[in-house]
Amino acid sequence: MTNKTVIFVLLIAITLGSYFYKSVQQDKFYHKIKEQNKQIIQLDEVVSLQKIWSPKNTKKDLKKLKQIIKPEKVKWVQSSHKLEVKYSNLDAKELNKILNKILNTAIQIKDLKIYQKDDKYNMEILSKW
Amino acid sequence: MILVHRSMSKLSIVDKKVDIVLTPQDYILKKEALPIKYEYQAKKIAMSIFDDILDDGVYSFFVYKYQEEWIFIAYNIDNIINLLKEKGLSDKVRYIYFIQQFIDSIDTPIRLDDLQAIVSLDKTMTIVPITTLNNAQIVDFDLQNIKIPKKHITLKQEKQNIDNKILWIFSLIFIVFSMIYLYQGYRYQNVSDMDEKLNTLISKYPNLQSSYARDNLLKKYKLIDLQERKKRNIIKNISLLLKQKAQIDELRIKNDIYMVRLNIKNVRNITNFKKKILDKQMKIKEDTKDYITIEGKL
Repeated sequence: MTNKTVIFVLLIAITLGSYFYKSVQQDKFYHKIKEQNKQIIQLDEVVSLQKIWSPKNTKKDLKKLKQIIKPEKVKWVQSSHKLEVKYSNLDAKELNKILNKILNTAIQIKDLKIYQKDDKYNMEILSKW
Repeated sequence: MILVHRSMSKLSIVDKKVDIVLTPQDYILKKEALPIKYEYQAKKIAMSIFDDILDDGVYSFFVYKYQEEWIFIAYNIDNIINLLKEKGLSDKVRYIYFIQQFIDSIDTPIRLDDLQAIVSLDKTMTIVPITTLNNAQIVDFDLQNIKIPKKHITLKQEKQNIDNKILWIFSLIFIVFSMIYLYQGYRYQNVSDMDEKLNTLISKYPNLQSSYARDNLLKKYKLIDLQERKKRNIIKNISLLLKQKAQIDELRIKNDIYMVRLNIKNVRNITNFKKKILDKQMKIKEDTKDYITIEGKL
């Protein structure tokens, strides 16, 4: 084999090596991007879910749940992360109002009970956040 | 050794390699007194010496020093190969010389054919019409008393030169590709756009740095989100049913079970009402004249 052939073969090997290096880096890069993208999506998801269900925001909304009905109709027992409310003698309109508010408040409904008594509604809700 | 020129007749040589001498018909000559010492330096500038005087084609250069001058000979190997083929010599040639190399050995005009001869004019071998020689003695090309020059070219060498060119071109291509690939590889290794975005997010929410913590939180909140959305969806669907003049008699949502008993005394179209319940993917557990009980799992 002449020197020229050796150099030529070496150059081919270098080119193939470079191509292999590039391909490996490219694969690593895309794998990394995929992983990072997954992590970013996961992070975003956790953050947005935390924002929805975090206690900070819930506390503000709870006050409104108390204020929309006359105080004499509400029995309110609140501890650090739990709430037990009893509404009594509600008309259909008031019941509807409370249900709408609950639908838009980020509390976890553990137990919800509504029953009719003498054309009036009673409602008990046990929730946490 | 054969003097090869265009007007010679075709030869038939069997099983023998011959040396040939080319006439000015097949090369272009220039003499230059240049302040250069080495042949490789002269070869480097050969192309520029013939600037604008060569016809189209690929030329090679034969360079040597003669007395105080450099002799530059440009020749087109393709034309020479064609000539040799034409004269029946294509694969019979060993060494190729140029008649100019024999300048010191030739002092009598050499006959090419009936009309032309080669003479030394001002130390340059030149083809002239025989009529201009004024009945001077003209001889055939003869090797006797001729000193054979050391330098020559071969067809193999020429082929190798061409191969070398191709080799160089390919080498260059490989080098360029290698550099491109290496650069691309380096770029891929160092791209950090996503890193930055991820780092910003992690620095904003340090408690979410570990994937274990993220997975757990995500699992926890996804479950809460799913269940609470289902509960709200049930309440929403019941609210829509109440628009049909039904009334809630009892509603219970506890853990993942719900139960609703509706008073349907005032509902006009019971069949349609039931259809709406079923459309909302809810199951009727009990169905009496005045009440419908819906029950299911979240």
